[in-house]
Amino acid sequence: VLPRERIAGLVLPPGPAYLPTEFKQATLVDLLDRALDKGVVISADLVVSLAGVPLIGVNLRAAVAGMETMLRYGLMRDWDERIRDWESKRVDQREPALLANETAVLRMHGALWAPRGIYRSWRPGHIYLTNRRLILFRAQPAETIWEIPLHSIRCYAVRTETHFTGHERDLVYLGLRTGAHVCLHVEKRDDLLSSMAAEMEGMGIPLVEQAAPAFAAHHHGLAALMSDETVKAESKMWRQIPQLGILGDTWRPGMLCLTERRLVWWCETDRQVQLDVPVGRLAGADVEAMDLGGLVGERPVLTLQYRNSHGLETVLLTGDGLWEWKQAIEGLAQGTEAPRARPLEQGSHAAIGRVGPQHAAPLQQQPAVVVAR
Amino acid sequence: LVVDIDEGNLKAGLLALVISLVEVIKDALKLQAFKRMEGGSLTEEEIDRLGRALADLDVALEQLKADQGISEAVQQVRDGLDELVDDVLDRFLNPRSWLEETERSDRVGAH
Repeated sequence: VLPRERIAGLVLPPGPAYLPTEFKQATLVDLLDRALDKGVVISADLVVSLAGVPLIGVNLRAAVAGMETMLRYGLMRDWDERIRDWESKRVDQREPALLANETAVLRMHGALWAPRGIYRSWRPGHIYLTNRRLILFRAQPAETIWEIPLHSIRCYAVRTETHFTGHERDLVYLGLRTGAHVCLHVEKRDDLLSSMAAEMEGMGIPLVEQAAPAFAAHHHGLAALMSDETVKAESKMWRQIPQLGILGDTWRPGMLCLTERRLVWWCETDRQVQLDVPVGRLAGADVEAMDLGGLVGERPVLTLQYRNSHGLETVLLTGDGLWEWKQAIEGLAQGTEAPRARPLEQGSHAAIGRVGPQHAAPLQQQPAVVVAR
Repeated sequence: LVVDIDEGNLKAGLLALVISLVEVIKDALKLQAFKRMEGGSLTEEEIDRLGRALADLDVALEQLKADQGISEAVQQVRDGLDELVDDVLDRFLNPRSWLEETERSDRVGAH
């Protein structure tokens, strides 16, 4: 019997025309549930073609069903047992492991922008500030996504950026002693920054605030802490990426940017800084015609040379205003005249150079654990 | 099903669309979870953990919808999808009514 007070909440339509109703509509969830219960077997051959030319072949044999149905048919029994076994044996870790004489100071929701690899996105979790480290920890499944010792942090900047939902939000950029930077979004920004400054002061290290960089605001990867730098030249520039695996040399679009301190090439497709040369390391530049093959044919190419610890490295760039770039770079290049052998004769592996601050591996970032479920 | 998207509501609309699909998957997972629980192969501890994870997911989604102000939009998308499914299923199950409808519309078209 329904309690009276629950019926009282219902407003009855007036009059005798009131008819009984029952919700009988099938929903999408019903459909999915029915399909999973029965199981669906897909058998498909697909050919993806463009302009009538087959390019990709897909041969698909798939069975999709709820696990209970799978088990009833004797499928995936081993997997089921193994996964549950693994999970039950796993130590239930809800907090990151702390070192001896390390104490947690602050804990809040936060996310880290992970700019590397194929998985470029925000990685959410809990930010832990201890008296020695800053840690991003995810509880389910337990993983320390990122950690960094406090003494390796040099400065910070706060910048308002527009989230893809249209919300404006403040992001915290931390500049590291290695020259790299990381980007965080945290729940209580001021608490984190003030506590971090206090902890670092206790260690005798100042945490410097830098004004938010106005420079190249649309270049997410370039939003490094460059507020004290001024842009001297900036233009769209294609760069030759030397052989990658089975691919030959390819050209990628990007932005070449010169400040009084360094020359930076930001890759449009990877959305990150892939070349970062201090001005003092520039060795020279030249413009020469080169056959780029394909439909492009012969084009002027800027061959840029810089010195790193291995010796002389060469970068090939093409775009507009190559002669101006050559003059600008030659004006900055110090020391001896650079040898200008054609880079193609040298072999283009030499062109990799120092690959972006993100690749300098200052962070002990663990690989994500991927568990097939 | 008409999803009304313009420049202004594109972001919210897209998010609502994604969230409603996530919700559908979540609901389907929930029903499958009940089946597994009834199936009897799970231990007490596993059932407990599963229940808690599903509840957490519920809370997280509700929170997200409230934060972005898209609760209503998500409900609309889901209602629209459900109507569509109901309609399609109805045509599969009652081909006769479908035929009648097409004939009717043909007649209307002829006039």
